[in-house]
Amino acid sequence: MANFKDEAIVLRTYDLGEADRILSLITSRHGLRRVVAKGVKRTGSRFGGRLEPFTQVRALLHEGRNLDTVIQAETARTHAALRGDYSKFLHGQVMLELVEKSLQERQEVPRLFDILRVSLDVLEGEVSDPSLLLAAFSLKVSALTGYRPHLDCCLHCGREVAGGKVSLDLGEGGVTCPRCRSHSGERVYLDPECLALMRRLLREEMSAVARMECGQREAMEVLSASLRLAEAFMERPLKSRHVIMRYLEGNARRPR
Amino acid sequence: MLYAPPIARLVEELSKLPGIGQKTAQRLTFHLLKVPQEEARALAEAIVEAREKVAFCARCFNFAQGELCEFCANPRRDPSLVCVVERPQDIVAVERTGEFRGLYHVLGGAISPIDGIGPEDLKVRELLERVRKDGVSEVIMATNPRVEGEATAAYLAGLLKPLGVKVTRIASGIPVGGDLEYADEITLGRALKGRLEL
Ligand SMILES: [Zn+2]
Ligand SMILES: [Zn+2]
Repeated sequence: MANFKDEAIVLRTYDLGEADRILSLITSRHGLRRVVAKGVKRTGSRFGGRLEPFTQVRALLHEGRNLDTVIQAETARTHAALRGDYSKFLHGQVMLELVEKSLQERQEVPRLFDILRVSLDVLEGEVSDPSLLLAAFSLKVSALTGYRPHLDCCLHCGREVAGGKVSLDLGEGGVTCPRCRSHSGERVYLDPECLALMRRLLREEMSAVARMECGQREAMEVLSASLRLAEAFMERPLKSRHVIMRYLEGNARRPR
Repeated sequence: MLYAPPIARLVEELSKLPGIGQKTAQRLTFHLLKVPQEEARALAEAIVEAREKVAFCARCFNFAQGELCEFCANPRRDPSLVCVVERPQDIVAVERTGEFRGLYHVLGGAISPIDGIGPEDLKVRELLERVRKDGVSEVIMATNPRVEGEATAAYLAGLLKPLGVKVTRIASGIPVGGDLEYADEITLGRALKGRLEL
């Protein structure tokens, strides 16, 4: 089987025996790959710290039947700022899990690599509210993988949803008016301002989202709804959702 | 292949161990069936004894045979210095250097959101409690220099500094016997930042 070169971002790592690790990578042109990095746990490994989560590398990979192997890796971006800042680390980790869970092995979705690359770059810099950035990322990943959240009007009758709390139907992936609301299925109720904010997040570029601000409570409501929508689309839970929501709730209780 | 129930049971139990697959479990099982009876019995007894006699230190969560581990119970160790590690086996590594005379605190892992592990799942509250009560003057972060270990150290530093304690991080650098040419960017960058005057 052949070797191939590609840009990749390390999503997560699993220990494999004494010295090796299996990496989960999103590549620019070859989709989600599971890759063995031999000897990476040894001090003095030629990969060093290059194959840690968040790192973007130019890699030479050998395609295997189930698992690929890393032959060479050269750092393109370390995203080092995401290690030393706990809030950025946490928001970045959820991004990595979203990408890993929204793809099947070797599945390729155009632009998914790019949106992760851009989002990690933006997260590393100055961000007014990283929770809004993560919410936007989650909505965009859903849209890119074929589940564009329906946020503009009732997804059944097309009527505008207005007044009071809006119902977001997670299973159906969008808002419903009181008339069309089904009695089964999971849903969250959103403030109309939060729904308006989610529409903007879905539309705006990440660099613009980095400058957006809103109240702490609104940001949490928007983030929670966006991640739960993604979970409903992926049909699997995000382990990091509880970790980040607990962190944000702890911060909200402390006066700023 | 179908094994007699006692063999199948041993294979199944062994294959639950980390790093042991079905094949290795079978090999170990056949090995244990061949060795002298006493040898197999000694292994079984060692497992039972370790589980029954070893618990966690009430202060630092290292393995301990009584209420406190050997370090916490030793009056010659300096209780004002606390070295924070992820796992008990990391203590063994630090001890081998012979450079540290303080006490330890074992977190029980590192924060790893992608695995669903947050600060609440580690011995973080207990560390803060110790620093508040036990007259600790310096906390040394010796979590692994991986993304999760670094973020855990950053998180803990944020909680500890307001308590007025000095928080330090073990240095990263080029491994002794290594080659600059092959050093990755983060390691070499840190080695430069942490350079020492000659
Ligand atoms: Zn309707
Ligand atoms: Zn102890």
